Amino acid sequence: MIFNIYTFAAIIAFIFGSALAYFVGRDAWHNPSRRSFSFVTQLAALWCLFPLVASFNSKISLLLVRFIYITGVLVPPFILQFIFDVSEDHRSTLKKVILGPVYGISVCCVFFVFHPEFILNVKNHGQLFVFIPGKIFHLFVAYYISICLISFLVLIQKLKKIERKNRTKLQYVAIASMIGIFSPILHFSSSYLKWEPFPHDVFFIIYSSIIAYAIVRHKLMDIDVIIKRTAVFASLFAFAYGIFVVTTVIGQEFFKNILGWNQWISMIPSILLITLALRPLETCLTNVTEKFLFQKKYNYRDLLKTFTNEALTVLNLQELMQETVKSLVRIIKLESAAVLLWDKELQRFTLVAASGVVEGVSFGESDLFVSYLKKTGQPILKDKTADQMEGGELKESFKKLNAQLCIPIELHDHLIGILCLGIKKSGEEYTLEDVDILSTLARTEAIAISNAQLFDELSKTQAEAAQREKMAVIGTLAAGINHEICNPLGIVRGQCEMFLLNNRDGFYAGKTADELLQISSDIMTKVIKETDRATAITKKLSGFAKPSKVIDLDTVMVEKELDEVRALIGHELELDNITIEKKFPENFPAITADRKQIQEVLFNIIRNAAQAMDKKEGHVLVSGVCENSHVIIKISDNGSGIPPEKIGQIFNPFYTTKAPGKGTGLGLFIVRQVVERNKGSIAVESEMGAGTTFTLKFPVAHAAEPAKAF
Amino acid sequence: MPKILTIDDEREFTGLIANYFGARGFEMHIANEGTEGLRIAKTEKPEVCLIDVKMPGIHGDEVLKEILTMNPQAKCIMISASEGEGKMRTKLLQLGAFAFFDKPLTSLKDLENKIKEALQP
Repeated sequence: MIFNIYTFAAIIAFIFGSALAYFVGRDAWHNPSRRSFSFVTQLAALWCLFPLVASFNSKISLLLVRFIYITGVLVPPFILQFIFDVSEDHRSTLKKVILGPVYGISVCCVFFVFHPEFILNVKNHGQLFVFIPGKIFHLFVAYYISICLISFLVLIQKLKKIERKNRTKLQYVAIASMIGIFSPILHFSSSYLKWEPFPHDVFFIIYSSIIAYAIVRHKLMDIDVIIKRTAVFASLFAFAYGIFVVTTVIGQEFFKNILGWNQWISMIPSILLITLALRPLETCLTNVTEKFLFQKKYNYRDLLKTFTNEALTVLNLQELMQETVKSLVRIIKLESAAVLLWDKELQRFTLVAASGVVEGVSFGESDLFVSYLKKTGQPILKDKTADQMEGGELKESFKKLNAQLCIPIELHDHLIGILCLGIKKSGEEYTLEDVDILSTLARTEAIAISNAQLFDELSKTQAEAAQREKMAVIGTLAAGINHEICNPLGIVRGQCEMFLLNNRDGFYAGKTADELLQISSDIMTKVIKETDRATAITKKLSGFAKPSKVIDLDTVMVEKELDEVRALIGHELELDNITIEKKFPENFPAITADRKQIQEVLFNIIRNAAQAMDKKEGHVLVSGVCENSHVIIKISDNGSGIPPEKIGQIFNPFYTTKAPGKGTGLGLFIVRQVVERNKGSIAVESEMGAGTTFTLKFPVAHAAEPAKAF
Repeated sequence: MPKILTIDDEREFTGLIANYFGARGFEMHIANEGTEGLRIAKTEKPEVCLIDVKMPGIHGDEVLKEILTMNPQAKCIMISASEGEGKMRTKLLQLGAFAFFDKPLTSLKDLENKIKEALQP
């Protein structure tokens, strides 16, 4: 075996090509273009070894070359397959017609590889090792070149049609292939013309580099991995190779001819140079690839800023968690990330937000993973901490979470959640600095989670309080219901009972048929009248009690709605000796609002006024005036009034002066919300001992405006 | 012929009572609010009074008190919605009410029996 630039290039091309083929093909057998690329690159990489295998003594070389050519003859169909796959030309008739026969021809070629007429012999031609092609080989060359031409035509055809976004990717494939094709052409020429100015495998290296660059920069074949290590590794190899070639060529001339040193000793300085320069070069290359191939390292300050902003603004727990995961994945460029939070009901840590992690993962308190975090309060790095731990349980947990680093989220030394971070796309490991900054972030997150949880609970409490308020309203209505529904029913019953008793006691004896008919008719009329009364009030009540989540805008006459409200509570107020008086001018304009909500507003204010009445004779005056484009409705009572120090608080939620159980303090709070939702405003004035006046102001409905519901 | 006075703000109720007991030989008097009831009670001196507890204007308990002051012999049957049962009942008993009936009435016959009981010497 001879070691020279040709054989060296062959080794580099083989390693680089194989690495690329492995990288692209790894876990991607479902993706046709990645699969065929992986095949063609791997086969070509093997083919690249030709100069190396040809450099043994001729007998072994001939055998090895023939073996190597098994891969060579298989390259054409895979080139074609890859071109079809990458251009996503699945329905092309050309593909259907041509691909099968091409595979067939290549498989036939495999059988001819060992035929003496394929490769006659291997020869040493100075530094070059060439083979003497046989008759069959001429055919193979023709076949190979025509397949390459067809591939180019397909590619160029596709490039014309494709939209701009994907064109760049395909352009890289085209350029890379055009350069790559020189590799076999030069290889053939070396044997036919005995001419090869420099190693043909260099073209294959360039081809692989372009493809690798396109993958990194433009996500060629949708490969969203940053193969930094491979890139750095390959560049280092290329550098070492370059130095070796240059120093060997110069060194051999210089040391051998001038100093008379042996060829092998002359290699020592080049090896020394490579050894010395390798480390600094690696750092330099890492930085260069970092800068040009990838964005800069994630900015810690930005990360923390984004998080603090979120923590302050997002109050919805679910949203906060999802945003956290999203920005972690985006900023640090992670394959996966997840947040686990303590679920009080399930008594487990459950997954609340995740990217790249299977849903439904949860851990109990007794799990080693959780108990470790609880005990130490320290982050766990899979490769460091987890490896030190005995047993596979911890590793299993990491595997489930697809995590590399897990950070406890603690609030007052209490574990409330776990932040799980997957591997970085760059393939880098987590540094101590990373862990440090992410731990700080976890503390910020803990406060944000706590805030969001408190807000959640507060919302729940508010909802419960609103429900209690509704129940209190129902309490008020109950008396009215009794009067308006039970009494008519009582009358109906009484009329019927009277008829039956009169009949039994013989009061109808001796009456004529006409008289009896008259008696029954009278009873029936009364029954119908009372039934109607009960029905009407039921309808009103159900309309009033229905929850109205969406605003159903309509043209509303306030005076009419007041009458409806009076029907509901008027009797109750009357019994408490409270009279309601209304004073509306003629042609009082309508407003655009939700009918039920206006009823709710009037009901609540009047009920409130009645409850605050401490006099024997209560009086509530509801009056309306129209001012410019607004209607103003005043609801005044002659109650005890609100003390000046309390008037500012009456619209606050949970503010009440009523005895426990009588009110929740949400009535007026809800009133204001409802008024504002209907584009109105509410104000209050009060004088101690004289009474309170609520003033409602709504814009007048435009006459032309149709009543619409949304 | 025994006189019955029914005081209730609900006209349908007083109408029904008057119709039923009128047919059974009682002399019926109707009032639809407290003051009117007191005026009739003063002039007619009914043996039995059916009084609604909750009425606008003068409440039933006031009416009861006044009637019993005017005519301690009168038997007053109070009719009230079931709310405020306990306390109100004790108070009305102390004031001298003869009996209670829930509103709405569940049985005219029961009321008739109670009135007959009240009229027994």
